[in-house]
Amino acid sequence: MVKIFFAIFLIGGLLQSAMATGSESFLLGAVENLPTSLRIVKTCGNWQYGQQEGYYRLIIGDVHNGAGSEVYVQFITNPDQNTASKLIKTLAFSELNNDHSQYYFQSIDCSTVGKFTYVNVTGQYEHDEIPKMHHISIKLIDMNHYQLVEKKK
Amino acid sequence: MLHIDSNGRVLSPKVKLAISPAIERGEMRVIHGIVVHQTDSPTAVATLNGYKIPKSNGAHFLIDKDSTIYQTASIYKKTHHVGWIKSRCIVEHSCSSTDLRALKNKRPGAPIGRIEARKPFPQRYPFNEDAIGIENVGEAFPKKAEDRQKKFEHLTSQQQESLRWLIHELTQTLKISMSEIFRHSEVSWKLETEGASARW
Repeated sequence: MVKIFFAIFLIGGLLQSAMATGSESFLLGAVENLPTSLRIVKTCGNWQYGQQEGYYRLIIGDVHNGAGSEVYVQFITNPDQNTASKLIKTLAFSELNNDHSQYYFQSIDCSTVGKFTYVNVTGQYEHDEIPKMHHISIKLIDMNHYQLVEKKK
Repeated sequence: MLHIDSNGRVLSPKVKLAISPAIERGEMRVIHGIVVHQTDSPTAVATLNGYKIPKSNGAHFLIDKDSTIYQTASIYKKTHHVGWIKSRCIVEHSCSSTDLRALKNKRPGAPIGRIEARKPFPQRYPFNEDAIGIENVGEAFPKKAEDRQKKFEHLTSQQQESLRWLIHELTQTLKISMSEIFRHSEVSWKLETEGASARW
């Protein structure tokens, strides 16, 4: 019993010490201001066009209180010693982000095949008469071009 | 009263036939209601061209800003124009305890929509299975705003006049109750201002 009390006392003391030494959460404000509609935000894969290179940020956001959702891919440059990373392009997909032809996306990831990155999303579609899961692959060709392919599973 | 031929085409000098088989789905065996939409597209031509793309979605009629009415799908064919429907009994405060149990903790969209789709009419809203869709050319602005901030432009007075005439004729001819005419955002989760200015 004395040992448990001592352990709790010690952990409490360590936590207080960490707070007192000022290890701030630098991004707290930014994270608190992240809209609740952005449900999934993740990085995935790498890109290189000309002299620029970086990574992709994949985003799924909800619309209409989560009745539907939309998908976006952002191109972000890698930071180096002298330069911070920079968002240089946000790709939206009109075929998928359509108020009258709405999906609800449940997952997003990416894979690299050869020199192309494929963003893979799964979701339900509002006009399906028989509910099913759609598996859609977005082939990223460059910063302005892509190809959509629905996979049959 | 409208004259509708055996292929579901409205034969009237006020209606231009522009039927796009690409937006037609299966047979619509019964018609219970009408859902009024706005296209979020600048012109009728843009919408009519979009309707030619295989497996595209659309409604049965399209009303241009200048009052022209196009019939874009057979009255007797379903089109995909509504999507997941809201719970009618929640909106109308008429849910039974069984309804409430089934809907408890269900989020908007597919989870509620699928429960509703299994209900018989009129316990649910009319939807793709049993509703005629009427699109009105009109855009939502600002283009880059989030859904809550976007607002559809008002129907023109010419559109209003055509919409009123078309709804009157369809309800009379097909014996649809005037209480079963809805704006898209009333029956599904869409921009609240879609069709908000429409009157009939």
